[in-house]
Amino acid sequence: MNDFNNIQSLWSNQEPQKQNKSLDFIKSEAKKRMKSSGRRLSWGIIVLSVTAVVLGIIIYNLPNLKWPFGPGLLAMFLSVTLRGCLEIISMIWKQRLNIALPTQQYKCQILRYYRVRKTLTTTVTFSTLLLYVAGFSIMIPAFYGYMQTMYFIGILVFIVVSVPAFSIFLIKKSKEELKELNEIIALLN
Amino acid sequence: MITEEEFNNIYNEYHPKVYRLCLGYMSGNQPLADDIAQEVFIKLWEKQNSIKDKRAITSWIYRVSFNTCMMSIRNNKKYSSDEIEDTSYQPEKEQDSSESLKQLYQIIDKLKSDEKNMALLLLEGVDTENIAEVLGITKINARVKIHRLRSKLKNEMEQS
Repeated sequence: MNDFNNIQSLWSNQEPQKQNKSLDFIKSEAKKRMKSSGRRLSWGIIVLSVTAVVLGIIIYNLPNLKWPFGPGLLAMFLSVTLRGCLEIISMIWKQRLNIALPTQQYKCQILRYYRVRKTLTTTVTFSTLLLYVAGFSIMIPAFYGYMQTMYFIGILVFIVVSVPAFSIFLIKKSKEELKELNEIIALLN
Repeated sequence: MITEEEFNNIYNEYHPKVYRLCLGYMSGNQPLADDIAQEVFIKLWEKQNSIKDKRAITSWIYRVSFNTCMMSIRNNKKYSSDEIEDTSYQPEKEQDSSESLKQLYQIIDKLKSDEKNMALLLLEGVDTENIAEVLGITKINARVKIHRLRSKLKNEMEQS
């Protein structure tokens, strides 16, 4: 195998692959995608948007924005809105990556995208989570004044269980994404 | 703009090439290469109105093939160099060429990302001008790199 032409013919004489998908399938799949393009949203964005809208409505209907409900709800609203907006920007960025660019340029583009995703996964996720938890925490003492003891204890138990559980879930997911991103960045470099 | 008939012709001409290219990029993983090749032609259909210069179709297809492979690394955890053994081409009749092909896949898999892209284009017989255009480098640079890579591939194949 000392001639490059031999290597080339070895490569091109590989057994032709049986085509699993017909040309018609490819065309119909492309037409389907063209109809639905731009309508695909991740569950994360949907949940964040709904939460932001609900919090926005509550804030709008508050008689005043005095301590602790005003700042508490605003902090929660801000954290959810910020995270949601960044996720939407990230999604639009990904959709706008020009797949027909020369390979080197495309690689630079996706590497930049993955590095920004890394920052989003680490710094931004934890900052917004802290802001959300802080916003909720400053309202807890006020709940005590407004609610019956039993309801208050119920809410307190719910918070004590759900916030750490949600945080652990988020940290686990972030770690997984981070590991995956690091692997891809290393592979592409 | 590409007509439906032209699309059919392009598909028949380029599908085997795109498939082999994806196969090389994905370490011989056939189902993955099949999915990515399909994805490339879906993208071609989607962009058929925006492709004005039909002479540039070759470099367009190869650029999109590589870029789709790059994007698919994240979506497919199946991607692993350990799979060469199980999924690469294994004809029963010609044992020698089967072994050589497996070695070739292993050599390609060990190359750096940029070298790997160039090697796959070289093996497909793509000319220097198109290689430069696909990879986004100058023709002179491409010529030098092609020369080195051809020698490297020959030497590696001799040694293995």
